[in-house]
Amino acid sequence: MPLPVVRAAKPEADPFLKIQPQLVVDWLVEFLRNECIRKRGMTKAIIGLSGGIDSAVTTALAARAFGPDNVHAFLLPYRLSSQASLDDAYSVAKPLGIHTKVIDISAMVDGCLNAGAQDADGTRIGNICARSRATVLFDQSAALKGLPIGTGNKTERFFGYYTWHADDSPPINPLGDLYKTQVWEIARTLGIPDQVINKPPTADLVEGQTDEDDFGISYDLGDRILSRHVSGQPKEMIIRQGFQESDVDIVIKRVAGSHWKRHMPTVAMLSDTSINDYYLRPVDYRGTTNP
Amino acid sequence: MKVQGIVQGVGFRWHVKNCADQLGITGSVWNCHDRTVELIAFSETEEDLDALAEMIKRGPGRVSSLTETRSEGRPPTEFEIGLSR
Repeated sequence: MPLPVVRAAKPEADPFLKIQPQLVVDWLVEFLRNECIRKRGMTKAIIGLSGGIDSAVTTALAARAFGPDNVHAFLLPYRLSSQASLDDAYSVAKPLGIHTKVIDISAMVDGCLNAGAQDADGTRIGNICARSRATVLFDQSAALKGLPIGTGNKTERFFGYYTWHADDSPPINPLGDLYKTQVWEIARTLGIPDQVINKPPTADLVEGQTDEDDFGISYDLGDRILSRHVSGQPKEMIIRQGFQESDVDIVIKRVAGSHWKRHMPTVAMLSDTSINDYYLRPVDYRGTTNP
Repeated sequence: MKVQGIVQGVGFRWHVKNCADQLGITGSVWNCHDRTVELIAFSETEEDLDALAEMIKRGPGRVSSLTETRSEGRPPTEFEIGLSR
């Protein structure tokens, strides 16, 4: 069993990761209200609550933005998920006073596996789990007339460490411009339980698996390198600041291999009304040429 | 410096300012009507200007060429995004 890691390194120690946590929290709460309630007219939030830090922070933000009674958190375990994750999810949800419901996705996932994916490896099973969870969340969104809220952070978005059109599919994402270490920082401001902040992040598919083992680099170090790389610093400049070349290579390779994943599907453009190329309308557009 | 390529409508001037700010370089950057981006950058050291050029080439869009001339001058106090010219 992995030892719990105390997240001692503070992002504010690094100028590239410095944030004002309380200000960020206030802005994200307003962001959720503005995008969901004002622009889209949706007053309920639908969130998949895993027991990990990202969904914990998202849920706490949503409870503030929508009010606890309008937040519906779904705990979506697969048969390989750990009981500890469920316990952690409840430890986040209970003090917030939001609605929770457990929907076991094992039948969905195993149905898919049995229907022609018997040879699926861990990556494929992980993808099927993620897409099954997205299916449940969007179905619940239709049932409850709520808006699914995404939980993906900037580090995993840059590393491509998510399932395309699954975890990244909700139309609203408050954490997408925060590095993982910054999510930990605002978690403290939001009063997320220490157990959830300090445990090693994991996809929770195989016991003992952690994100950081998968990357070959810690989030603390990865975020410091990543933030420099995406700010335009050449590799040599990053190394000159005391980072190991092998660590810098891990980060650059991750980003370079996942640009495709950060885009919507590429549509063949044939006209001057091509959607999102020429035909551009904001989500709260109310004008019409055919009243 | 004059930057040619796909450098307008892609957030290029913000990238240039971000890079200049990291290096403590002052000056300004603007879009040109010929679809290029021009900038003027002031630094105490030639190395920082070399670094800026390297960082600019890694910007959004696609840089096909970057040409520059260097001279002495009085630096402004910050790096700003200027009006199109």
